[in-house]
Amino acid sequence: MSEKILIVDNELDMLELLELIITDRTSYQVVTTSNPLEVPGLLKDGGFDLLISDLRMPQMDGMELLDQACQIDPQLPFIFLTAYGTVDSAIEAMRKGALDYITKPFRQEQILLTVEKAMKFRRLQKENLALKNELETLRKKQQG
Amino acid sequence: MGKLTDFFKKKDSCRPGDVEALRQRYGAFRSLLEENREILEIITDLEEKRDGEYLFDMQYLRSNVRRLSEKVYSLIRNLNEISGEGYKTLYPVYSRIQQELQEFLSRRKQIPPDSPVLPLGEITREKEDSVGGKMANLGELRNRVKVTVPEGFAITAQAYKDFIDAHRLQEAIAQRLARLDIDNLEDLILVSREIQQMILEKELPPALQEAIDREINSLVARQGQGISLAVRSSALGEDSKISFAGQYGTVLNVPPDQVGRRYREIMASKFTPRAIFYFLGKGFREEDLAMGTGCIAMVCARAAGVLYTVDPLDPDRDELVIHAHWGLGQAVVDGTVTPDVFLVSKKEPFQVKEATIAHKERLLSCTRGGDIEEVSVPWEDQDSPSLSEPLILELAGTAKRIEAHYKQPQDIEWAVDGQGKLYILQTRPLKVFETKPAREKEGEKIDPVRHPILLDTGVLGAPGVGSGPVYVVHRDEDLVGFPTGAVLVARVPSPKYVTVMNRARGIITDLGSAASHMAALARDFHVPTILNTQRATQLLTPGLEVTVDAGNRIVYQGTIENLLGDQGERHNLFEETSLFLLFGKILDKIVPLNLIDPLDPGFIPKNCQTYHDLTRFVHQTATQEMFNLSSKSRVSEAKAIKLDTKIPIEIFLVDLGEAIPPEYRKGKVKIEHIHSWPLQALWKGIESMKWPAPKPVNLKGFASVVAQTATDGSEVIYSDKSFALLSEDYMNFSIRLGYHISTIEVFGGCNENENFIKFIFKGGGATVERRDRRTRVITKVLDKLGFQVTRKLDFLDAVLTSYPRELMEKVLFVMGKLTLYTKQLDMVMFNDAIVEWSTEEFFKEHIGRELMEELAGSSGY
Repeated sequence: MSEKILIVDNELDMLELLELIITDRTSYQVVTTSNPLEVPGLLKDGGFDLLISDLRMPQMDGMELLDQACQIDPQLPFIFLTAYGTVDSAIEAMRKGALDYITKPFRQEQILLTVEKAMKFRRLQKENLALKNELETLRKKQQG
Repeated sequence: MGKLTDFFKKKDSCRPGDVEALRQRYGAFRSLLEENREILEIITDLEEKRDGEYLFDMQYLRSNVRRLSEKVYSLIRNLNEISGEGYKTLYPVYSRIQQELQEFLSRRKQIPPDSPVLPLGEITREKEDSVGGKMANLGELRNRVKVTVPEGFAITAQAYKDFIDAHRLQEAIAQRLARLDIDNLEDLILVSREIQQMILEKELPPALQEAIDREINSLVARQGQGISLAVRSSALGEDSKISFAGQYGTVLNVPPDQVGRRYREIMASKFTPRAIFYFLGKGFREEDLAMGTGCIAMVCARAAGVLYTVDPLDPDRDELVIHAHWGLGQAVVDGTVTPDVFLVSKKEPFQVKEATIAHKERLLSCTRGGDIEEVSVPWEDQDSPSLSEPLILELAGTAKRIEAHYKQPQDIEWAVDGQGKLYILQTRPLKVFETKPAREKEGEKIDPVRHPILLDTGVLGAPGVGSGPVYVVHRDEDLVGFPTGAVLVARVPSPKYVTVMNRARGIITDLGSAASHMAALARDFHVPTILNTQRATQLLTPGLEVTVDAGNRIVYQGTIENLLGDQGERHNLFEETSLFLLFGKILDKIVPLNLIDPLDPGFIPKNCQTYHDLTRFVHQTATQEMFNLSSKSRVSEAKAIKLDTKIPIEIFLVDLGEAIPPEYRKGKVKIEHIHSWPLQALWKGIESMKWPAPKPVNLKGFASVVAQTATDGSEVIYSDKSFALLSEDYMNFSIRLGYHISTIEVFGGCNENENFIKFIFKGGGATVERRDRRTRVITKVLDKLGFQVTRKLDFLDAVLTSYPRELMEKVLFVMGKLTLYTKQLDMVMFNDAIVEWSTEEFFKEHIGRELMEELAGSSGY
């Protein structure tokens, strides 16, 4: 099953462009929503490997979204999209655990590279978890 | 020329003696130059986003357009300050453009007031906002291209508005939409159904119904009782075309008495759940849904189909592609049948190069009751060509005319009726997808022996790769002979090159930057352009075959096909998104430059159509206004500072800011204490020459001077003092030397694009012929220095732009020398031979080959 990305932005135009470029240039599956309030529900359904979100949205602030997402999937890589004037908030978001941020407007290559980096991170994370689990199983077997 | 000669007649518009007023004007001029630079930077930044390389949102567009609007407004205000409110007419032009941009940004569509119904005979493509793209093109075909289209009429966007207003539906619709949560599908379907029902159950307003009936009766009178119509929605603007593609169908074979009902159905179809979701999500409003509708006499076709004026998959084949099938063309358009395919050579006489005849079993045809049905193709026709050769050739000819009219490949729907008459039903731009191989990596597989790199410096003006023979442009007149397919090479960028941009395969200049007017134009025309190469005019000789790889700022010798093959690779993935369609419209109000030549009578405020036009007009006019300042101002000598010099001319200085230290601001100042590099450079040239002794005037020459002065009332003796307005990097110097006046204005800051030297010269004490000869000497010198010179008898106007300061200093040094050299030179201009002799003497004795070569580059001299 291909890896899945959730994109959240109240600007439908940005959602449209991001979906187009990521689906055109990668094999990742993309789900978009303009309503951040839907995100917890979507994450609970599971299967996402990356969350890309705008930092400022009227329904819910990106920081709050990050908090909520962390509660559901603490390992989920998170990339913020920011406007020129909100870089400070983006840096703050990275302190809180976001993987990266991109300032709008940005080049196609920039988002693709950032997505690729995040996916690599996610794969290592999963691999790490799998190895840990394997180790745990082996230990249990030895103990048993 | 009229404008330039007015310079000497203008009345003073500056209060006498008001140094402070001059300083204010100069301050406004400085601000204006800064704004001009910022505006061009914003335009460049916006244009950079055009090709889809960047992702951005509405917020980016709004903030940049707002910033741009503020700068342009401020630019106009500053020009009015400089000119004493002489250009107030620019404000309404600005407001119009600004409002149009605001409309775009608010994503509201304006419904232009119009008749509710327009016969096809009154429609051309300018009516697109009223009748929609499909009908506007059909009218254009009928009325301008003169091809045969079916008779018919359009129901306009105004009619839609009339209908909504008559039943007060706007409020009812708005209320329902306001309480709708578009993510709730059930609600969405419910609201959609309610709104559609409201529309379907309302009658058309009587005036609209009458107008439709009138047009139908007129059609029946011309075509007979048995006619039926095709009723098709004709979307307004490209946004709708893309977003609602396929949602509003065409209703075929509609009996005349059912047109009103079908029209209401089409209006209602604007409120399908998906349409509502899209519009609300995008922030559109109900009134944005207005649309045009076409009612066209039905062509119950014997054969029909589609024609592409180039093969979309292989555009280089130079062939037209015709898809044809028996019956109505709907089946071909929908792709539900396999049509015959004919490839026709595009060169006349047309020739069918290839015919692939399909096996055709079913066709669509009109029924008597007013519908369409699928029937069997008679067995004898099933494997026969659905289009005869004469009709293929007729269709090819018509298609070529249509393509020539629209100047781009077309996708054309056509039909042939029972009598064999050909009709064009629709035309629209054809999207051509290039399938050429991806480009080699930089430097890879380019043979350095066959294709040595000639230049590898400079800044990108416009991306792309182009190739052709070098054509060096020294002056504007050279543009006349510019051959198609050449690469333009010049010392400085000039907006005047726009006249050859559709023929140029590349542009390379020695100087200039990406934020210049010309670079913006080059991007608009997609001409690969490299600027500021420093040495292009020295290294690229006329006729040399070169390849310009603008993206990598490299010029190769020869034609490199695999680099050229890269062109088609650039495809904007986003071009059909509503954001990019909107962006295109916004750029159309900002970027194109229509005002090119300041001497053109059309170079006036009311012809400004874009922010770029306004910026160009204001910048050009402001420099002219500033130029006039020193001659128009009558600053009292008491308020000016006298230049302390051994040279026997009186020069008064006005400090516009920081040019003269406070301790020298009263009385006299020596040249070494003045902080104004343009004056320093010019003065260095003046001081390096001996003050010329009176010219040896022979008896004839002296007599001619006297006779001329006595008989020619227009001759003026300029015996006034000379004035110079100065700042650190600006000089406006009016030098009055006995019988002639010359004005030199210089601005030379950090941004080369803003830099200029303007020079005007007029007058003299000798006969017109002799004065004329003197200006010919001056013209020859200025020409070699890189000036664009306009000359008429003893009047000379010259301008040099976009030079870096170091070069300008050298140019001014030469101009200083020239000023003294030509003083009273007219007296000895006995014959034409002296023109050549004097020019050569000036170069040889006073300038030297080395300096001249440095200044002129290798621009052919």
